[in-house]
Amino acid sequence: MKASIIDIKKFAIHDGDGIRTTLFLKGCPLKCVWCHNPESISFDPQLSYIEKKCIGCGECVEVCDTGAHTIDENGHKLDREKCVACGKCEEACLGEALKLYGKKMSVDELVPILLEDKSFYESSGGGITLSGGECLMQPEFCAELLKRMKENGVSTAVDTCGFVNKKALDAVMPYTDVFLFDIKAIDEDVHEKCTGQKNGIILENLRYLDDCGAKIEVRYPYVPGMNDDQCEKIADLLCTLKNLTKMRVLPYHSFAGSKYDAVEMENTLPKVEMPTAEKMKEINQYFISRGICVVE
Amino acid sequence: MLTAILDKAELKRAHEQKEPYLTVGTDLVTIEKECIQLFEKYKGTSVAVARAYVIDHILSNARIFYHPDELFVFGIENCNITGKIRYEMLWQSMKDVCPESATLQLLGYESGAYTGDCDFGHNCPDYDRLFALGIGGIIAQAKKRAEKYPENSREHDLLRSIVISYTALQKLIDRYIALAGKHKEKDENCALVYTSLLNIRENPPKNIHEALQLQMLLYSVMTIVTENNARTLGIFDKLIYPFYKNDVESGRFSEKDVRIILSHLFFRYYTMKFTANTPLCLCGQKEVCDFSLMVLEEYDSLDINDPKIQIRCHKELADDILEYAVSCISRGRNSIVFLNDDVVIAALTKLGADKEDAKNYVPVGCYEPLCAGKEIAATCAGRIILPKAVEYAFTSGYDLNIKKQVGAKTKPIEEIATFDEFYAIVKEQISHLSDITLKVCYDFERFYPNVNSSPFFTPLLCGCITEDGVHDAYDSGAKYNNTSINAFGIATLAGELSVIKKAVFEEKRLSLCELFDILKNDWQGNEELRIEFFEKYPKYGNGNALPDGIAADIMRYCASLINGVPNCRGGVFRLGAFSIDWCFTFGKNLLATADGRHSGDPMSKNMCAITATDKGGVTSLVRSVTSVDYTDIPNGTVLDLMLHRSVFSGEDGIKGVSALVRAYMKMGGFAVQINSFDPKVLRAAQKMPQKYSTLQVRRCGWNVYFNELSKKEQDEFIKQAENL
Repeated sequence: MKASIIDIKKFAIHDGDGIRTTLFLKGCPLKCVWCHNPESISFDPQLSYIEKKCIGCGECVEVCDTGAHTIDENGHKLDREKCVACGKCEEACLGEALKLYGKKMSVDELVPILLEDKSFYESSGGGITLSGGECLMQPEFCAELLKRMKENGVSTAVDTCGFVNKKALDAVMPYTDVFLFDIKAIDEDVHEKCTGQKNGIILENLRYLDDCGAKIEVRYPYVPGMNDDQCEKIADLLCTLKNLTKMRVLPYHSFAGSKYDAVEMENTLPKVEMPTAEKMKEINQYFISRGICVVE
Repeated sequence: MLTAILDKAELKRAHEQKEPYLTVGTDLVTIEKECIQLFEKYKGTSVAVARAYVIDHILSNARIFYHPDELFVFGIENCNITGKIRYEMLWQSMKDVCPESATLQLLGYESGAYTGDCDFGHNCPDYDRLFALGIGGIIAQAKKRAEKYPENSREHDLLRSIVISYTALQKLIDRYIALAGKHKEKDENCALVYTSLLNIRENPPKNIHEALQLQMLLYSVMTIVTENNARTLGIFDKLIYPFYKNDVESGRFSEKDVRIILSHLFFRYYTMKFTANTPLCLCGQKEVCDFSLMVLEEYDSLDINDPKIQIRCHKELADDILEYAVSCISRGRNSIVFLNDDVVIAALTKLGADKEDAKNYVPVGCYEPLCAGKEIAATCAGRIILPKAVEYAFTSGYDLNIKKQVGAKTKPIEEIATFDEFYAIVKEQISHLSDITLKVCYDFERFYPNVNSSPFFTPLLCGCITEDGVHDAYDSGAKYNNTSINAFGIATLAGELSVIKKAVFEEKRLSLCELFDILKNDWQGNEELRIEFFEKYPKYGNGNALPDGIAADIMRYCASLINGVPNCRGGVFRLGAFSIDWCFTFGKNLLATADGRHSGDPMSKNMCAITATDKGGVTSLVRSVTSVDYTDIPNGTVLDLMLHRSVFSGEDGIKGVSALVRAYMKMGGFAVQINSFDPKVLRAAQKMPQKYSTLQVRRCGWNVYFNELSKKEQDEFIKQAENL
């Protein structure tokens, strides 16, 4: 069994408790307009190309079997139609301008990599986090990987947008210590406008996890002009949860523009100001005043 | 009620301009002339006594500065007269008595392959003893002991030099008393200085202010006037806590007063601008940890880079202290290094220190530990530049830059058939450089006591003045009389040997001779190969077994060559592995290296990876670094960790970085210092993205690589960094 992997991030200290390794799986059912990982949306592999890193060495042209890369006096050209996402050019690229998102990797390949930092997990109360995209779109893979981690004594977290089949939650729940659960909006129309999907399934799943006794940490991406009017309703919901451990409000930023360019996707990032530190303090304070444990 | 430093900007300006200071004394040019005449007059009898008269002249006459608002007086105008006298004498002695080592020393500097010299610069006097005896007690003891020896004997002269020097220190204090006395009626700060000086000119200190003032005077005269630099304020929390506790309990000072005193103290050291700053160690032990935290808080509040704080890490170190230190770093107040008690103590005992002495270690200078008040470690006496050994394995020891034979005459590369053979030759070259370094240091150190006696230091170093005899601190006087050699550039060496093993001997892409031709020509016409070797071949810093194994093995080998080898002072040599900024200076003498480095570029620093090659992130870097056994490296080393300020964001950030420090210690690291990025680095990264490919930045809940951002986005980050 293999999954499509975007990245493996070591020393992740903001994806759950302690020092963690976060595994990003490719493909997401939502299309959040503020998405900072556009390469994570599609389920298909994508080649990213950062022009300013290209040193014109031509190694990619040499290794490419399909002629997707060419170099002439105007520099390097990538014909995405011809690219079969084999990953050979990424390996050969001397300037690290090319990167393949969506490498197929098996549980057996990933386990030793995720265990490399076990001593860091142990001394910090950390572990591994599965994220994405939406990792639970590949539920059997996640369940197997999480099981193997638990067998190795490693703490586990699953970062989910919640827009998944209940069976996926059932599959991973026995091996998951905490769910990092995104709540983008309570109002259905707001949610649909922001993500392209209604939120009924998400709220149901949140309730389901809570009823099953799973530990939940809620994350609320706060985007001015998009979902910044949802604080009160989100607080109302969180106050009814029995197993909420804490929440985080993630302030919007617009630093992902170049990522859209690198995979040639349309940049959907809202043209709004990033919230100030004072504003974030105020929002956090609001949730604290509602009796919710907030990680600042 | 004492007056706090209320307006830092004003005080900073005052220090820079020296305008509001009362300045009294003779100018440096005149002082220097008079001192040289004095030294010439007396040196025929005894160097120790002649130097003591010079010291007396300086302390009695050189310029002093006094500011009535300040709570501490610091010593004397910076003059390097004794240093000049010392260097001339030492060099003359070496040339006359030991011409071979004098020549070898020059060859080392010329080639940049090794260095051997004296190091008077890294000492820790026994401050407990200073506080117990006071100046009067030290003088009385020296006088009494002198009665046992005939006049003009070596012992008598040494004791006499101690009496003259400490009496000179009293004269200096008298000069300050006269100045403070003029203002004491008007100003409470001034009155405190006056009262404290009156007591400590003769007696042991009675309170925290007197203790710190006495320490500051000793520290500055040792450093400025005798060049037996006291490069630490000791285990500061443990040392000063009893005074603090007593003063607060007795009502002599309030806690607020103590904070004011500390802030004045730190500010004073900051403005003295001693080379490489003033180190201060915190042990953070349970019984003193409230005071440890107070020290950190006052350092933090001043927003200055001096003193530099060394925190001893152990299981009992409270999270409060560690996390507070990390939060200081997150604010850019990162003049902080963390040391690993378990490893340091094991390293010192392995070299022969008693367990109790090792437990009472203190880092001098940067992160070089020694047994406080009992050891001379000469922590920067010698250096071995490890990548030069690889260069000499190619050239059979002939240095192409200076066109001289420097290394061992090993077999020509044409005859080397296997990597193991090449590796053995690299080791032979290291052994050769090590032998020369040890020899030069050995020979130079024989002249220590004759040229640079230590009248202030000697009575405050365990073992120097006993019933059995009297010895200068640098004349085998201490309990441990050691000498340290630093071998550095390890990541560069591991990187180049990994490339050679894989590309030359496994993949057979090119021969050793072909590779050497390319290196000699600094990769000219082979830029793609250079980039490939740099980017695609295994490097130390990524948890990769090949380079990490080489690094661990070479450091173990260096330890076997150096640790425990007798020096000429009854002690032993000890290995260190730090490079500080020598990685730049000695990089200039190094040909291109097989890891993709250009000729003249810097080599790797301390225990760090080669810049921009630790692509596996910080945990992989730590795994590589901790593959080395640091109990073999008693003179110490450090990992410089580069983290963006945003990594520290929020509670998770501070706890995460603190957890990283703990994990590093648990895995056997020696010491670690953390940089949070500065906008200057970001601007450089914007201009040279390839050079900073591993620089990552974090916002909110995820990381992005800095050089993958658009120019506009980078500008935004830079702007934010500037406003941090």
